[in-house]
Amino acid sequence: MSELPQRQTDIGPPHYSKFLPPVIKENYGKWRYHEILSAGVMVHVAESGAKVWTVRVASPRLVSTDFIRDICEIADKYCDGHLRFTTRHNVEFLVSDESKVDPLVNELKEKGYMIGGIGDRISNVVHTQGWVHCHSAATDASGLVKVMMDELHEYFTEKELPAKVRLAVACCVNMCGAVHCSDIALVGVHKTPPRIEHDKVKNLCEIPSTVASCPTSAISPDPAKKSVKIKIEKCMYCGNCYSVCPAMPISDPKNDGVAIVVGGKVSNLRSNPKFSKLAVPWLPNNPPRWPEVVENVKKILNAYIEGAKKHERLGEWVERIGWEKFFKVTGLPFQLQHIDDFTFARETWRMAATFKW
Amino acid sequence: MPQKHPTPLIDELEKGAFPSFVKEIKRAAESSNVQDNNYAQDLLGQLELSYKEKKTHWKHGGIVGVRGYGSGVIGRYSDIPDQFPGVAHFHTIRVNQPGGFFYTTEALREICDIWDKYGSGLTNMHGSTGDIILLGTKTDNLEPVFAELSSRGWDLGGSGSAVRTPSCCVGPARCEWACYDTLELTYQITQRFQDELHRPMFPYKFKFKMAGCAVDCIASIARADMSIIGTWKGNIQIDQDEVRNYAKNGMDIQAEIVDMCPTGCMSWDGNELKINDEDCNRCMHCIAKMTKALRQGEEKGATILLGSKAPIVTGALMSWVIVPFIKLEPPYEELFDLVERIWEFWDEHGKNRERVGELIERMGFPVFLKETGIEPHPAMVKEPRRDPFFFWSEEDVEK
Amino acid sequence: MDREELKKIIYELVEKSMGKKLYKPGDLFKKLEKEHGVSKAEAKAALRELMDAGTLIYSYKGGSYVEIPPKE
Ligand code: HEM
Ligand code: HEM
Ligand code: HEM
Ligand code: HEM
Ligand code: HEM
Ligand code: SF4
Ligand code: SF4
Ligand code: SF4
Ligand code: SF4
Repeated sequence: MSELPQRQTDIGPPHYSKFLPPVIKENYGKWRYHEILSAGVMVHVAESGAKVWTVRVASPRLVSTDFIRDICEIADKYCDGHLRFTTRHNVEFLVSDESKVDPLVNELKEKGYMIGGIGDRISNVVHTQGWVHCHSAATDASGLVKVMMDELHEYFTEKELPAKVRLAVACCVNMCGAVHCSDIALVGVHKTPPRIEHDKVKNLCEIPSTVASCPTSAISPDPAKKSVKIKIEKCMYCGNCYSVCPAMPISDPKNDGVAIVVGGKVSNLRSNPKFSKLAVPWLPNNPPRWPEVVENVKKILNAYIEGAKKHERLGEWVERIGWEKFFKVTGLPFQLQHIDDFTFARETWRMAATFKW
Repeated sequence: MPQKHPTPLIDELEKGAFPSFVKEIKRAAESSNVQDNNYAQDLLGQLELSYKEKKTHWKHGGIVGVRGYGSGVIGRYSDIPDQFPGVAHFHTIRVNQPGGFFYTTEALREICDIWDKYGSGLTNMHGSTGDIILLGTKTDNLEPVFAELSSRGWDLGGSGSAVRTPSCCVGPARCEWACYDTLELTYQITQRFQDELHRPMFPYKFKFKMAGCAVDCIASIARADMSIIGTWKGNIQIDQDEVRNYAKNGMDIQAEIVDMCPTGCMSWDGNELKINDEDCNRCMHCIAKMTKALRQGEEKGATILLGSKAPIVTGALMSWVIVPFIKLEPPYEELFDLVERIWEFWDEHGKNRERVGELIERMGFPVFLKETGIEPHPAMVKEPRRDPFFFWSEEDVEK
Repeated sequence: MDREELKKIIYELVEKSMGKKLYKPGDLFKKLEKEHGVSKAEAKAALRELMDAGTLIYSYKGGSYVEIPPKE
C-alpha cells in the first residue's frame, strides 16, 4: 500500500478567500443592489459598477463524485473554475462577463440541468437522510422530495407564486431538516409505541438514561426483568427512547406514515418567524411515489395561490384568514390530533368568542 | 460494473422532471472512477428492500472515529450485512465546508479523487448542518481518508456533544444586505473553537449560525443554539428617484410596501416615501422589495439570539434575543467572551442531552442572565410577565 | 498534579466504571476537580493526551462519552 501523507489536526476549514472568484473578491462587502432576470438568473451590481451574474440549478443533494466533476467542467468553461452551493442545496455558477450568460444557460439546458429557484418560487427542498442513511427513519426523505418536486417543478423553473414557498422533508420527528419552520413540510411519523426487547435491554441500554429520555415520563424501570416498561397511554411515539436504547425499536411499517405541517417561516420580513403547524396528521407511507402525500401538498399549495395577497407567505395568509378558514378552503378534515396537548398547548387554544363560520 | 440487484421500485424515482438521487447512486455504482463500486451497488439493493418493506435497514453499533477526535465521523452499519456486504460498514465523514460554500473546481476535484479512492463516491453537497458529507466508507479507511484530507488543508466537522460545524449565509460575498462579515466571523469562530468542535465535552450539541440580516437565509433562528443575525441602527437611507422608478415600473407602493410594513411606520403620497425610523423594527420587508431604492442605516452590527432546537425533547424553541446589538469586527473578543460565559453556565447546570435553550427554560431566563452577567433589556421579551410570582434576592430586600 | 499520574487516575476511573456508568468528559472534569483539586484545563490536557495516544476513545450513544477501546 502506498505511503499516506502526514495527518494534521485542528486546522479548521480552508479560508474562504482562497475560493472566491475575482469579481467577488474585488467587490466583497460592496454590493449595491440586485435584480432577478428570470427564474434562474440574477445579477448583483456593486458600488463600482461591476456586475456578477448568478445562474442557479437544482441538485438532488445526494450526488455522485461524477456529478461534481460534471459541474466542475462547466465551471471551468464559463466561470474560470469557480462555483458555489446554496444553503438549500442548489448549485450556482457565477460569471462576471455578460456575454457568457446565455451560452452557459444554453449548455446547462442542453445537458438537462433544471434552472430556476430564484424569486417568488419554490426553491430546492431541505431534507434529511431517510432510508438512504439513517437508523430512525420512518420514511424516505429523498424519495418524498423527488416525487413532490416532479409534480411542482414548474414552480421552480418558471411559474411565480405570491411569495417564496419553502419546502422541507424530515424522515422522523427528530427533524434534522428545517421542517418546523417551513411553508409546507413533510415529516415521517409513528403511530404505535416502541416494542421492548427485554432480553436485549440489559446489554444495550443504560436504564436510567432510557427512563430519562422519555419526554412524557412514560418509561419506568422494571427491576424484575432488569428492563423497562412503558405506560402505553402516555406514549406519544416520538422515538426518543429508541435513540437512547436500541432495544426499543419503534418502526412499524403498517402504521408509520407521513404528516404535513404548514405555515412556518424563518425570515423576519413583515411578520415574526413562525413554527409550522399541523395540517394533516397522517397519510399512508406509500413508496415509491407517495400519491396521497403529493395530492395533499398540491391541495394546500393551490388554496394558497388562490387566496394569498402578493408578498404574503403561506403562514401569513393563514393567519389573515384564520386557521378555521384554512381547513374550510383546503377541504382538509380537522381531527382530534390537530388540538395541541404538548408543551405549549394552552397558548394555542382559542380564548375568545370570535371566529369565522 | 453492471447492476447487482434488480431495483424495480426505486427505478420509478428515475422518472420525472426533477433531478434524481437514484440516478446518482447508480452513477456511483457504475463509475469507473470509483475504486469500489460495491458500496453503491449494495446501497441500491438495500434501499430497494426498504422501499418494499417500508422500513430502514441501518443500525447503530461499534465505535468509529479518527484518532484523537470524538467528532466528524458517523458510524453506520447495515442490519443485514450478509445480504449487502458492500454496506456492512457505511460510515459518514463530515468535512468542514469553506464559508459561503464557495469552491474552486480544483479543490472539489481533489475531494472527489480522495473519496473515489477510499469511499462510495457518494456525497451530500451539503448536509443540513453545512458540512460536505462523504457518504459511506469502512472503518479501515477512516484514517487514510483523514490523512489525505488534512494534509491538503481540509479538517473534519463536528458531531456528537460538541460544537457543530458553524455555517453562514453568502453575506458580503454576494449580498448587499449583510450587516457584518458572516464568512469571516464563521471562519474565526470555527478556528477559535477547534478543540470544542473535535473533542465533545458538552452536555449536548451546540450550533452557531451566522445570518447577515433579518432575512436569515441560513435559518439561524430556527436551527442554531446561537443565532447571530445582522441588523443596524440609524435611519433607512432612501433614494426617492429610485422609489419613483419602482412606482413607474408598476409596483403598487401603497399596497405592497406601506400597507405591509408591520409597524405602520411608512407613508407614500405618490411622490415621496417617508419612514418614521423610530418605529421601524428593521424587519427588512421594504428593503428587500425595493433593493435599489432603500438601504439599511449606517451603524451596522448584529443581534444575538440563543436557544433554538428541534421538538425533541420538550418541544421546539426558536432562538430569542439575549444581546440586542453588538458590533462585530475582528478580533471578536467580546463575542467569544460571551460564548464562554454561556458554556460555563451550561457546563455547570446542564443535564445529559439538554440543549442550552432547554436548560434556560428549566432554570429560568432571569437566572441565566444573572449568572452570565447580561443586563436585562425590553428587547428580550415580547411582553413582561403576567403573573405576580417573581423572585427577589437577598440584596433586594431590607434587613 | 503530575500529568502522568493524572492520566492514570482518569484511565482508572473509566476502567472501574465499565459496564456500570458511562462518563461524559464533563463528568470526569467535575469529579477530578472535586476529589483531586485538578483544574479543568489540566484535566482537559490530560484527557487529550490519552485520546491522541488511543488509550481512551470517544463513543457516541445519544451523547458523547469516554470509553476504553474495545479489544480485538
Ligand atoms: C414537519 C415538520 C418539521 C420539519 C420538516 C422540520 C425540519 C427541520 C429542519 C430541516 C431543521 C434543521 C436542522 C438543522 O439543519 O440544523 C429543523 C430544526 C429544528 N426543528 Fe424542525 N421541523 C419540523 C417540525 C418541527 C416542529 C413541529 C418543531 C417544534 C415544535 C420543530 C423544531 C425544530 C427545532 C427546534 C429545530 C432546531 C434544530 C436544532 O436543534 O439544531 N420542528 N427542523
Ligand atoms: C446504545 C446505543 C446508542 C444510542 C442509544 C444512540 C443514540 C443516538 C442518538 C440519540 C442520536 C442523536 C443524535 C444527536 O443527538 O445529535 C444518535 C446519533 C448518532 N449515533 Fe447513535 N446511539 C447509539 C449507539 C451509537 C453507536 C455505537 C454509534 C456509532 C458507531 C452511533 C452513531 C451515531 C451517530 C454517528 C449519530 C449522529 C451523530 C451526530 O451527528 O450527532 N450511535 N445516536
Ligand atoms: C434523538 C434524536 C436524534 C437522533 C437519534 C438523531 C440521529 C441522527 C443521525 C443518525 C444522523 C446522521 C444521519 C446520517 O447522515 O446518517 C443525524 C444527522 C443530523 N441530525 Fe440528528 N438526530 C436526533 C436529533 C436531532 C435533532 C433534534 C436535530 C435538530 C434539529 C438534529 C439535526 C441533525 C442534523 C442537522 C443532521 C445532519 C443531517 C444531514 O446532514 O442531512 N438531530 N441525526
Ligand atoms: C395573596 C394573594 C391573594 C389573595 C389573598 C386573593 C384573594 C382573593 C379573594 C378574596 C377573592 C374574592 C373571592 C370572592 O369574591 O369570592 C379573589 C378572587 C380572585 N382572585 Fe385572588 N387573591 C390573591 C391573589 C390572586 C392572584 C395573584 C390572582 C391572579 C393572578 C388572583 C386572581 C383572582 C381572580 C381572577 C379572582 C376572581 C375569581 C372569580 O370571581 O371568579 N388572585 N382573590
Ligand atoms: C399582583 C397581582 C394580582 C393580584 C394581587 C390580583 C388580585 C385580584 C383580586 C383580589 C381580585 C378579586 C377582586 C374582587 O373579586 O373583588 C382579582 C380579580 C381579577 N383579577 Fe387580579 N390580581 C392580580 C393579577 C391579575 C392578573 C395578572 C390578571 C390577568 C391577567 C388578573 C385578572 C383578574 C380578573 C380577570 C379578575 C376578575 C375581575 C372580575 O371578576 O371583575 N389579575 N384580582
Ligand atoms: S430526520 Fe430522523 S430519520 Fe431522518 S435523518 Fe434525521 S434522525 Fe434520521
Ligand atoms: S416513544 Fe417517546 S413517548 Fe413513547 S416511550 Fe419512547 S420516549 Fe417515551
Ligand atoms: S441573510 Fe441577509 S445578508 Fe445573508 S444572504 Fe440572506 S439576505 Fe443577504
Ligand atoms: S424595515 Fe420593516 S418595519 Fe422597517 S420600515 Fe421597512 S417594512 Fe417597515
